[in-house]
Amino acid sequence: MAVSITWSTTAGGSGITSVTHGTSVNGANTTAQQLFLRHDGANPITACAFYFAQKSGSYTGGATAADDFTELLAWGDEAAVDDFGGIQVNMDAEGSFSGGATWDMSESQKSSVDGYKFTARTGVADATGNAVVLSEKMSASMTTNGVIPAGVQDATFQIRVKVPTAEDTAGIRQFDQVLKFTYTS
Amino acid sequence: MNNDQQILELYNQGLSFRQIAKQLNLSYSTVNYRCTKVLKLEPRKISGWKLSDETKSKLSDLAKVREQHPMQGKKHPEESKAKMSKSARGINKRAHLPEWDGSRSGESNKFYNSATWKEIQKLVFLRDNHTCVLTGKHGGNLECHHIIPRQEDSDLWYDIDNLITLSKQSHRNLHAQEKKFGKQILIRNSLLVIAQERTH
Repeated sequence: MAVSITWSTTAGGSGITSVTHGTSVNGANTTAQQLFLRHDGANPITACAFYFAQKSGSYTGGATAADDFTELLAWGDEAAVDDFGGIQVNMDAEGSFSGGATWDMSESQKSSVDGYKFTARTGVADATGNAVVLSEKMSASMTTNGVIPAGVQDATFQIRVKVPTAEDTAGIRQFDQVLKFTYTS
Repeated sequence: MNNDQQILELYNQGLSFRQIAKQLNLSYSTVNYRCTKVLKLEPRKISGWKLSDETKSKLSDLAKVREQHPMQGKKHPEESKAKMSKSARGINKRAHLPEWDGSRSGESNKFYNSATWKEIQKLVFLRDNHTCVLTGKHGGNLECHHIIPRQEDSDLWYDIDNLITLSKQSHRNLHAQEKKFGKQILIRNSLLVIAQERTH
């Protein structure tokens, strides 16, 4: 039997298919969005992992879907403080995201030592083969990384995008965020 | 002695309502009310203002300064008068400053008051479900924001993809932030799911 996954902005809330993170300016983050995941399977979903991709649907940005994604990854690749940025994810729901919306993700913490925060970049969450396994810190009900048990309503994480200080082009950036998983009925 | 008795005594000494108020540390309106409504006294008629010695001295100093002004006794040329008049009316005021964005110009008002803009704005609010994309707050005092500013690209003035809904406060904050840090970038992402199913 098929299982369906629901993304929402509140625990148990209505399903959404996209998120607008709002605007940001050079050297600043978008406001961290807290997203929730749940499934209706009778069994756990396993091997759950995130990765990002170029926007697959209708593109309404200012360049091309491919250019946007390349740029977002390049922001994550940068070592220079002024140029560093990109898509940043924090899965530490159990730890209240370590400081709320202002959780730290400096260049030196692209992949935090605690293992539940990361910045998307080349080789990290940039393709299905490099997907980042979901942390068990996303829910009190999760006890194993990458496994969302049946009946969990509140597996949650925060996501935001940091715009590098040196970025010189205003406009809209778009990307896909993909959850992949395995389900055994 | 109560207030009314004190007021009457001072009044009989020839003090005005204002002087009574000052002496008794009461407000003028209180004294005025007690005098006219309760004690039925007539306000004193002041025959004329007398300047204190201190005030007279200040006015005298001011007159001396005025006499030393380089334009004393002279007339401004017509060109200078025109410039001063223009400045007083606000024309070109701030226009020469690099950070002036022209957002309060006549052209700008014309744009924001146009029927086209009002229609586009309605569409943007509808698309964003009347919700500020920065705070997530629904309804209230909403404004439509140009991601790429109007001054940078006139082709995008009415481009719905260049417009987002913000609360008035967020809009103000964003522009203040932009002035300080730089250009605005709107981020959107779609949420997808890929499942690999195994059936036993």
